[in-house]
Amino acid sequence: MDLIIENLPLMWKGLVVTFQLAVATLFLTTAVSFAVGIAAVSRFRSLRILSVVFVEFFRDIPLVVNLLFVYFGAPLVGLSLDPFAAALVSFTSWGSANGAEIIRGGFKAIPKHQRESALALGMRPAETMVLVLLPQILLPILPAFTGLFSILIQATSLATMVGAMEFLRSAQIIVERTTMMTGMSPAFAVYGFVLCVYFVICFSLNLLTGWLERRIAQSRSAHRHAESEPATETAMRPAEAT
Amino acid sequence: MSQPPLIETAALCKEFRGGIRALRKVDLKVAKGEVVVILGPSGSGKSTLIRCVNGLETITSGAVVVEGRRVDGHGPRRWRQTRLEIGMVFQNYALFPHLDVMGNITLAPCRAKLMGRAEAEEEAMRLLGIVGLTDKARAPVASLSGGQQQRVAICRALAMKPKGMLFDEPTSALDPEMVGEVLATMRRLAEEGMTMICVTHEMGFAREVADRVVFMDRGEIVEEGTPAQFFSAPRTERARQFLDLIMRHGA
Repeated sequence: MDLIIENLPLMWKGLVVTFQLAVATLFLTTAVSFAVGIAAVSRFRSLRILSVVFVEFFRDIPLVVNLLFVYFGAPLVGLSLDPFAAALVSFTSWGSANGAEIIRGGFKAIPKHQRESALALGMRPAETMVLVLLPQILLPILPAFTGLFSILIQATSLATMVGAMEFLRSAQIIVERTTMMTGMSPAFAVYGFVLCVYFVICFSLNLLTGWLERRIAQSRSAHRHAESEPATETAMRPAEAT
Repeated sequence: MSQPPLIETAALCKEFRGGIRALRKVDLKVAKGEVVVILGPSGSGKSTLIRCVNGLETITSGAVVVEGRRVDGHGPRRWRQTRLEIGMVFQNYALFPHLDVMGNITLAPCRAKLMGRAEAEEEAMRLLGIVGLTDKARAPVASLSGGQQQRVAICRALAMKPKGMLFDEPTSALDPEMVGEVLATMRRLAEEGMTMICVTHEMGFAREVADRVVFMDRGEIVEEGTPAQFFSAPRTERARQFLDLIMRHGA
């Protein structure tokens, strides 16, 4: 315990990098996921094909391999990415491929009459997407997306492999340094601490989403019960599924 | 007829992938103010026909003409004008579940800049008044019964102030006790002079409200005429068989 307190500044630095990497990854992943996911249901064949290629390519490669490939491959095409940037690119591409699949699934679950009725009302395809279809997938994809976020936060620890100074790396340094100085390995304690921190972060995220989901569900059903005439038979039809 | 028909299809053919010929050279003319009911066994191409009129299906050959202008072609941009002018009501109502009743009705007219929000809401309340649902204006869609949802869907289409309306089996998904309220709304619309093409299995509605009945089978118009003539003395064997079948099941 003393050891951890002693080394808190170093671990804190690592944790900050992990946070930066995670936030940047989640932000970019969300943006790219929506772009690729929307392309997957586009009426343009070329966009759909591009989307499928992107998704299949990045989903079928282990994340570690992807990371090493980006980090060591970037210089070959004239880019020199530092470990942080390489990790960001790698995690985002992998995360977006999975995120796009979640979003595509969300769209597939919407009955086709939703899109048709919007178009039949003279709405433009973009309006139909943004005002009619997108709002309908947000709640259904929330659990799967939180899962992806959680995996991505955990995956940031892989950035250690290319030498990014993030949380896990700071722990490794402490373990190595202490072993050299004292001859005793504090690995169990230090990595145990690391484990707890990752657990707390991801568990809080899951709790937060669970709470958010319940809040939304509650506000919708409260609204419903306030109505004088509750629907009984309509709730079973897929067209009304929210 | 000096005025061109509001909606016209000429030698309309639709072939689905896999070579299924849903429509074979369909010629249909619907004059302004006319109420046409399309009857026929399932799979006869009735729904496909009206879905071709506003471009929800891409036609294989032939033409769709609205007020003398040819409107068929590729892509949503080309169809948008027609869709703004001709409303459609679906079997499954297809109300937007994330919006309340008011939001459903005002979304499209506001986006199309037909009217401002205040005016659109006023118009929505007027339409809801006609179908007897003013108290549901702020209700979430899921809290409405099927019949109420379908009436809102009709309001939603009417809020665009369309020149004509397409009804694709508007009562087929409803519980029997709710069919009447939707048909009453459609009947009132017909009386007000709206041009309507209705695909339906409601023989009573066809008999009493239609100006003309069109009978389709296997992608073709087999017979058309006034309801009185069609129901009492169908000219073709196929129509006779169809009517026999319907009557025998006590519809």
